[in-house]
Amino acid sequence: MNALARIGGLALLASGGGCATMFHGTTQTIHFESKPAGAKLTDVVSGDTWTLPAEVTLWRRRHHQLIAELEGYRTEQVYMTREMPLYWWELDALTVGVGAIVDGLSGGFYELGPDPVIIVMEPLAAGPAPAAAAPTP
Amino acid sequence: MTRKGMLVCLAAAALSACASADLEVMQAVQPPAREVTLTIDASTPAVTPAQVSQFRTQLTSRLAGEGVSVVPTAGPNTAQVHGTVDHYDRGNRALRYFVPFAGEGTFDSSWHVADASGNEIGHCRVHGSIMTGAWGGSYEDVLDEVAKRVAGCLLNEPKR
Repeated sequence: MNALARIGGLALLASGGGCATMFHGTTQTIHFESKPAGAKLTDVVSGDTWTLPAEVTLWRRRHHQLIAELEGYRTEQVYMTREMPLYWWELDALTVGVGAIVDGLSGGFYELGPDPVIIVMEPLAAGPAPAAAAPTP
Repeated sequence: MTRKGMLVCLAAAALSACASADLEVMQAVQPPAREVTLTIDASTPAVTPAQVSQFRTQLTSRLAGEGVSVVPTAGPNTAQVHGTVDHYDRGNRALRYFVPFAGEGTFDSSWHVADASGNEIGHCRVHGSIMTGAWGGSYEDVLDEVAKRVAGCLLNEPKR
């Protein structure tokens, strides 16, 4: 009986492990748009590119630094922030920490923001172009 | 406070985002600005053009969510918003993590709003800071709080 209870308990922990990862996965799809439309969005780390407007799927576990470029306009920087909503911690606490480890490794409990991302391009004549260097997260 | 209470407080601080921002209305924006052009300058060399650009995008996205549309070119009913970053200090995240309430990050800015003909219709200041948070707290959370207060300024809803 004791062994059965232990196995049952472990199965319960395993099934509850990584609540956020199970509920909303390890990626997040975010709507990006530029004004005017047509800017090229590039992920600085992965090198992936999209033409805006676009639905962009990003890994939750990573910080994302992106740049938006459009001929005749300044290059704009986009930094996606990551938040950990408290309710995932509370749910993961039910698994005695196992869920938090799983969600931490997979990045499942992060929410990326802002969403949607709206990039208003500034015409080049309005001022000097910003440096391309990535700011410190 | 008991030792247990202190531990609960520290755990709560470690798990929550503790960035905040205060809005100081110098002249209430009248009428509220729902469509704006946005320029941001920095009066401090502590902030790079890339960081200003990053903040501008974050602010534009947040304002859209709060009902303020930022447009690239001004129309007849478009207000002109000019923001100045007066103080930009990311603080020390590692210090914030290991010693809560040390390594504070701060952000001070002022916002002038003019109507389509260039007459000033409002002026606000926004002060942001972060003293602790999850793994020391992200400075970007400060910028997000600042963006919410700027929306409150433009919509003349200081309690927003």
